[in-house]
Amino acid sequence: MTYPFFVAMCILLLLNGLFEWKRRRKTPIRELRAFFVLSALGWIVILYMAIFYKGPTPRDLIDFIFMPVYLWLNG
Amino acid sequence: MEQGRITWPQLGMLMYLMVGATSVLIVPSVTAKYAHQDLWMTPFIGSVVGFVAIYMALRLYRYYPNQSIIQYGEHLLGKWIGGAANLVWLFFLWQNTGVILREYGEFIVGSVLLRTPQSVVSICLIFVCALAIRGGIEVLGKFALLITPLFLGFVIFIPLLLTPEMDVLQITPVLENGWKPVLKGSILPMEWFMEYVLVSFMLPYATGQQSPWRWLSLPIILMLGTMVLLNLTCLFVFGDLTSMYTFSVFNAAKYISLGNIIEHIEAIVMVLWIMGGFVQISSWYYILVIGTAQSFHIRDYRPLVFPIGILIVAMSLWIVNDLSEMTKLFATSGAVFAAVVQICYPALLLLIAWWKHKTGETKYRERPDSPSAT
Repeated sequence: MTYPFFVAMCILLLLNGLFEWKRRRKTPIRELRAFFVLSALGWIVILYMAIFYKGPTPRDLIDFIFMPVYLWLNG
Repeated sequence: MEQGRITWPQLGMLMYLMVGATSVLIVPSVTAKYAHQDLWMTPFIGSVVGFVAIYMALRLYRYYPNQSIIQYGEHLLGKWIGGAANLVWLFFLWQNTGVILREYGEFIVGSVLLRTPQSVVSICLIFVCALAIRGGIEVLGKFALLITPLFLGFVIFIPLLLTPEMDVLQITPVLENGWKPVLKGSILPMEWFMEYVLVSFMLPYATGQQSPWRWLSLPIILMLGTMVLLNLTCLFVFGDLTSMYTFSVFNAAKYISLGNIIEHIEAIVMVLWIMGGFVQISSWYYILVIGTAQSFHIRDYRPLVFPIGILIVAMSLWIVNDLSEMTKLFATSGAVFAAVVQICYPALLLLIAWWKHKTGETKYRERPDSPSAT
């Protein structure tokens, strides 16, 4: 995936972080932790897409697990 | 968790659009590849799976009222196996929501906004969906009730307006190559009808005196009628060429011309499609958010909405490289994955729940910090 996309998604993550930062006093700690974990996961995914754009995708994982089953069912 | 409530008719209409909005986009062309002129039979076989899915969801809901499949899955299978199964469910929801967003992105960029990057379309759509989800399930339910009649209107009027262009003899010869191509072609409609099991996430928020079975069978029947009608329309207009067009119904709408006055109806079709797609993506997105919150015992799902939206946009661009790969995913390993998650797993849960209720093991103690605990 292209670097402009990576930069755009990072900006969106930052804006989202700013939005939740303003509301942090009203948000319980558990929800804040979940928010940070999911945001970090999102950042890792888009970083992976930027660096390893020709690397394995979730489709490869699904094919690895389920394609043998599909081929077996098809005979 | 979710304080809002929707009525059974709203839930029925939400389920219809949640499953049906993308089915009208690509199902005719993909089923035509396998079933050829018998593509109109494939939804009948696929709809059986839909009724099975609804039956399982309602039966499990009767055993565990006010719980979703994520919650009673953990109870029935235990903390670790149930937790692992929930992670698989979340991955499935994430992957499928990304695929649906990608379908819409490909459609909009491929048909109308030819020079716009797909990521821009995806981000705009997800942002609007995120705002709707933060408003709660009532926003989705009421919008679905508003849009479904318009959507059904387009499903009925497109074939009516295309009547001058139709050749009904394209349906012959019926069953030229036997039932095998029809069964192969029905895999994709089955994949769509299986998605009705997702109603288990929304059943806890439905309220009213109406019959759940009636209002949840109605979307299946409407979906069946929609698929058959649009498959026949594409077959009568394009014949063998149906499989050549990626978006057969959209291309068929371009042929509408009544007295050289009523033309370019595809613009109106596009608007109604986008609205239906908005409901579909919002519903899947909402289920992913609620499922994540329930898996990790989080009370307020609203802080999770925007980060999960970013994950969905990333998935939509990451999952496949192009539309042909997506079509191949639907027809091969994706179909098996969907069947395992949406049919086999709920069937296993239903079996365990039935056994536990038969042997009297019905004690279920809620965690004190559980979102549904009072």
